[in-house]
Amino acid sequence: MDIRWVWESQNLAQRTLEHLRMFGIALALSVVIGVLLGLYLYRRPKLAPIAFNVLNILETVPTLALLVLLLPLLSLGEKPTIAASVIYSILPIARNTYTGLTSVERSYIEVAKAIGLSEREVLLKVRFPLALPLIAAGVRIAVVFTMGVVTLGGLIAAGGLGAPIQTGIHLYDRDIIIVTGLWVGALALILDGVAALIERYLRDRYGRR
Amino acid sequence: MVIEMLFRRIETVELRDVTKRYGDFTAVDHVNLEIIGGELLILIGPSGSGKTTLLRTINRLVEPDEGEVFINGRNIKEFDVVKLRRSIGYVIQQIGLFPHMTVKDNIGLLLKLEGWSEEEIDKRVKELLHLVALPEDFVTRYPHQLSGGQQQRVGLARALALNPPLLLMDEPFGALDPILRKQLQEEFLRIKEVLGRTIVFVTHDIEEAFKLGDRIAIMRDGRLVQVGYPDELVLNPADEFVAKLVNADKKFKHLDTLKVKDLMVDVEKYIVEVQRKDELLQWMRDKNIEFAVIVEKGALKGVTDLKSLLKSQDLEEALMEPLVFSPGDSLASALAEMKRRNAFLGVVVEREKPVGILLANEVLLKLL
Repeated sequence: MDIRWVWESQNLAQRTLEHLRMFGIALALSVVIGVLLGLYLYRRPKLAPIAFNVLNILETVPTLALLVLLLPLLSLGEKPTIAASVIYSILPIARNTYTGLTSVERSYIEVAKAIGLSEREVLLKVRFPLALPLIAAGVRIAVVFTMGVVTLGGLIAAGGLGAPIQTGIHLYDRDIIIVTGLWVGALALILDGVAALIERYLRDRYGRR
Repeated sequence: MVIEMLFRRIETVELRDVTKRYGDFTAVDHVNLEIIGGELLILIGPSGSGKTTLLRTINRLVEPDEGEVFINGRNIKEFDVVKLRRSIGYVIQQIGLFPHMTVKDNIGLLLKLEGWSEEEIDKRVKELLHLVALPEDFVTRYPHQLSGGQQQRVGLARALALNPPLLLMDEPFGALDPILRKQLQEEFLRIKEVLGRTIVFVTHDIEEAFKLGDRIAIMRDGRLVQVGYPDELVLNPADEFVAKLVNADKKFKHLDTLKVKDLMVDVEKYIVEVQRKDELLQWMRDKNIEFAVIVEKGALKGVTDLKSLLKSQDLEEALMEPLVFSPGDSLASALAEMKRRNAFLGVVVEREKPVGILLANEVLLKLL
């Protein structure tokens, strides 16, 4: 197997950058939307069951189907790929944000109020920091989701590391498929490892003991 | 930095007809209670008696269904609830230090929200750590790195950060082991003297109530059964329940919880301000007393009795330095001190002024 040949002929360095770029945008959007949605649902708990049901249904749509469904709206390429990633990743982040905020031990909230924190200060200084470890766990799930969807984006001309895998399939070239596949897998493991480290740090720093 | 408090000092905290119901259960039942500025009032009763609920009506953690709470004559509903709570320190049994904040951030949280600068916060936090007898380098620690007793001290420091004139304490020493508890009680007494503020203190431990409280309010089934000074409760319990609670038939058990002020006698008729020996002799003969407490501008100068006065050349020579106690001293240790020094009396002094006399035989008589 000629790894170097695959790497150079398929322009994997370039592909990796594309891939990480899409991954980064998708994850950042997911985190912003997911956390904001979690916060909003925390403020409007009556809406929470409905919202999570809708997100759960979206979650059950197969990735490929979702990508195809998005094509008429967003055409080919990066956009539908990123959109699909975000749609999948919102649920774990929003759900963990919501659960994190609502499950903070009551005694902390009570003390915070009792010593004179306003609702807003309780949320920002106590609830949110204590929910961070759980939010981070949600983000970590989203990292894995996003990695998968972005790779599939190769099917709809999004570029990234999905593209050489497609090429490999079309050419029946085992080397390209294996080298790129292993490389995507390794990247996923590395990113998940980084996310795990961040999660552990947050748990140590903000965890409840 | 000046902190804007709703009230600088507490004249009174008045609970009028306060009632709180949870469904069919009446937690607090038409309670009327006046807390006097500067005192430490104990709320005591069995669990479920409504003492914590009543305490929480004062900082509006609980809004009463009926009745009102007044601080310095003003209905607390008039105040902004956040400002009200910042003017009232709050300490609870579970401590409730925020686990994600260092000791400094916990103590300084309210200071930060009030807009103090970093240096001001640093300075104040160190002051407070000193007050609660914790080393300064604790600032960077997290609550889980502290022992239970240390956490409770940090909790107290946090409650005192803004220097609130009123302090609510809900079984603050309840979760500690007995030895640590005694130690913290002693320290708390010291801090209390330094601070001299109004404190409402919930406990279910009668020993703690006698040890720390100025007055004690006894609750049962949501109702206030009796309020009074410790000796009143022991000597005149309102009913069987109070008698049993204060253990009136075994009051010797409380010798170590009684304080000097509970059994001192009035000093008024022995106090005199004179310069010369013959003046004093005349005065004592007129009053038909054998013992005198000499003061100078109201401050204690010494004591003397007729016998030594007659033997001596002048007043200076006849003056003796008496054993001096303060009203809050423990009676037991005062008596022990008198016995050791072979003294039959001690003068009770508050801010240099004599306020009472402790007579060894008189005390024993009262206790019998």
